[in-house]
Amino acid sequence: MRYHELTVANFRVFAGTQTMTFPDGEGVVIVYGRNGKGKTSFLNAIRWAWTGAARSRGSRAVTPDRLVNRDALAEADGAAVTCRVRLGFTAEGSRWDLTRSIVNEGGALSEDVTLVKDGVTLTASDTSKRLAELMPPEIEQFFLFDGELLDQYERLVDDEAPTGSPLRESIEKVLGVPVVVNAARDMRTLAEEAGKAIAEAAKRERSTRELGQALEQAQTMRSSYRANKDTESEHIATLQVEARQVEEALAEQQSKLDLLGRRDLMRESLKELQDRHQEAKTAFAAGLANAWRAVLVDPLTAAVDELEAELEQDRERLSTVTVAVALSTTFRGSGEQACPACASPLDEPHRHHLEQVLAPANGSSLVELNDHVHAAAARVKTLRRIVDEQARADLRALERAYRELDVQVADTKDDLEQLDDQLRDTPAEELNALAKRGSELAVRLEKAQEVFLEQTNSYNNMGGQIDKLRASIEAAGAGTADPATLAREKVTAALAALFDQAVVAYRDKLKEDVQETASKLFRNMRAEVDFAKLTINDQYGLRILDSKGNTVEDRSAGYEHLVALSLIGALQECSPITGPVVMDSPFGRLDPEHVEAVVGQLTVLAKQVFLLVHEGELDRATARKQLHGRLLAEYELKRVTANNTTITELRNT
Amino acid sequence: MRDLGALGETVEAVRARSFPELPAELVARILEIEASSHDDRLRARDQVTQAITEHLKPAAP
Repeated sequence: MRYHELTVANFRVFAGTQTMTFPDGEGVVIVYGRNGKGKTSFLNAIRWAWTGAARSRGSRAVTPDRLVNRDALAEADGAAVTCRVRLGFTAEGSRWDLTRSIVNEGGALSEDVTLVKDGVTLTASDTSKRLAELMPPEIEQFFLFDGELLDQYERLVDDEAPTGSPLRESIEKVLGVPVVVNAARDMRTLAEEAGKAIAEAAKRERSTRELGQALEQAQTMRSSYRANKDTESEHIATLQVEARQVEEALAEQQSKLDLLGRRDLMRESLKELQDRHQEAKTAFAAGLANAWRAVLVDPLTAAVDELEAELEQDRERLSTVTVAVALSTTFRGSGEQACPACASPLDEPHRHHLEQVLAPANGSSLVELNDHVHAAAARVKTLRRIVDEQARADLRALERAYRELDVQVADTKDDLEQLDDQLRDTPAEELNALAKRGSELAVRLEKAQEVFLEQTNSYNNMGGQIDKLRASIEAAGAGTADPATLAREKVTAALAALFDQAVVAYRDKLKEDVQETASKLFRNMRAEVDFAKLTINDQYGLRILDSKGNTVEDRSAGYEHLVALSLIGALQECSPITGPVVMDSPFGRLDPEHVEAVVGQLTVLAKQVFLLVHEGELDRATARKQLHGRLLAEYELKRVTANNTTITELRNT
Repeated sequence: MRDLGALGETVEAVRARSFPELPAELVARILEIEASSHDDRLRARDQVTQAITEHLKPAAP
C-alpha cells in the first residue's frame, strides 16, 4: 500500500482545505512542526480516516465534536461546517479514495465515510468490510506509531500478565494466524456435521442402532463441550479486555499525580507568557499609535539634511561677521587711518574700500546672526531626534514579537486544556472502585480459565469415546453411511488436523522470522555493541540479549524505543499486511547518535515512511544529508493562529 | 495488500510432510477463502463446504 494524497479540511487545527500530494517511489516524507503545531493532529487525520477514531496524548479518545476546527465553527456562527479527511492510496493494484467527514450544524453532528475503488463507490457494508481488511483497527498502532505511547509495546515483554498481552492478538492478526485458526475451526465443524450423518446411518440398522444412539449422544455432548469451550473463550477475551481497561485506568490515575505537577508548572509558565504577551501587546499598541510618524520619516530626513546644510552656511557667515566686527572696531579706533590688520597707514582709496566693506559689521547684526544660528541648531537637533526615534521604532519587530507570544500563549493554553481534560473527574472513590473492580475481574478471569480448561478436557475426552464408537460401528459392518459422507468426514477431519498443526508451525516460524529480522534491524540501530541480539517470547515481546546470551534488564527509555521500532520493522517484513508507517515523535527518547542510526534504517522499516518531527529531534540538514535520494518531500506545519495550522511544502526531491 | 506467501508455504510444508493424501489445491483454496472471508464465518463455511463438495464429486466418466 502507498499513500498518494492527503486532504484535510477543518480537521482539528487545520482550518480550511489543505492537500498534500506525495511523490511516487520508496522513501521518507518528513513533516516538521514544533510542539503544539499539529503533528499529532496530522497522525490523527490518517487514523481517523481509517478507523473513525482519533486519540489525544495519553491515548484518550477525542470526541467527534472536538474534531471540527474551532475557527471554522466560530466563523460559521451556527451554520454547517464540514470537517473532512480524504486519503488517496493504492493497494492490491487498485486506486482507492477514502473520505471520512463529520458535519457540525449548530452542534448537531452527522458522520459519513465513503470508499471508492477504481472510481466505483462501494456500499456502506462493503466499505466497512474493506476498511477492516485494509487496515484492521487492532493493528493500526503498527502503522500509526506514536512515540509517546511506547508503553503499549513495552507491555509485550510481560508474558505473565493475567490479562494476556493486549497486542498479541493484534500481532497474530497482522501475521495472518487467524486465517489458519478459522480454517481449523471450520473443518472441525464440518467434520462434526458429517459425523452426525454417520450416527444417523448407524441408528437406521438394527445391529448398530444402540451404537448409533451412543455415538449421537457422544457427538451431542462433544458439540456442547465445544460450544461451552468457545463461549468461555469469548468470555475470557471479554474479561481480559475489561481487565486491561481497568489496569489502564488505574495506571492513568497513578500518572495523574505527575500530570498535576506538570499542570502546575504549565500554569506558571502560562502566567509568565501572558505577562510578556501583555507587555508586547502594549509596546505594539504604542508603536501603532505613533505609526503615522513613520510616514514623515523620509521627508523629515530630507528637510533636516537641508536645514543642517543651511546651519553650516550660517555658522560660516557668523564666523565671518564676528571677524568683521572685530576689524571694524579696530578700524574705527584708529580714526580710520590705519589698516586694522597690519596697522599700516592707509591711502584714500583703501580707506574708502574698507569703510564700505566693514559698514554692515556691527554689534546688532552679530547678535542677530548668533541668535539665528543657535535657534536653527536647536531645531535641527530636535528634528534629528524625532527622525532617529522613528527609525529605531521597528513596528514589524514589535508585531512579530507580539504574534509569536500570541501563538506561544495559545499553544500553552492548548496543552493546559489537554491536561485539564486528562485530569477531569478523578475523585478518590473512583480510584477505589476501580481497584475493587480490578480484583473482581481477576477472580472471574481465573474462574473462567478453569472452566475453559475443564470444557476443553471434556471435549478431548469425548473425542476419544467417539473414535471408539466409530470403530465399533465399522467393526459391526452394518449401518454404514454413504461413501460421500464418510469421505467428507475423513477429509474434513484430516484438514482440521492439518490446520491445527499448521497454526503451531506458522506461529513458530513467524516468531523465528520476527526475531531474526528484528535482531538485524536492532543491531543496525544500536550503539552498544554488547547488546548482541533480540529474543522473542510467546507474546511476541522482545528482550535484549548481551554477547553472553544474558537478558539485559532495566533497559533505558531510548532502548525501549529501538526495540519497539525493530518490532515494527520486523512485523512489516514478515507480515502479509504491509503499508506506509506514520511516526509521530519517533526520536523523542533517542540521542543524536541513535537518531542518525534510526534514520539510516527508515526505509528498511517500511517502503513509505512519514516522519512527524520537530527540528530538535531531527534537523533538516541532517535529514537531507542522511536520506539523500530517499527523502521524498518535506513539509512544515506553521501555526497562523491558535486554531489554524498551515501545511507548507518545503521542497521536492 | 494481503499476501498469503509465508502462510501458504508453511501450510503446504505441513501438508506435504504429514498429510500427503490431502490435495494441495484443496488446501490452498480453503486458505484463500478463509483469508478473504472478512470474518464472515457463515459465508466462509458455505464456500469451504462448496469447495470440499467439488473436490469429493466423482470424476465425470
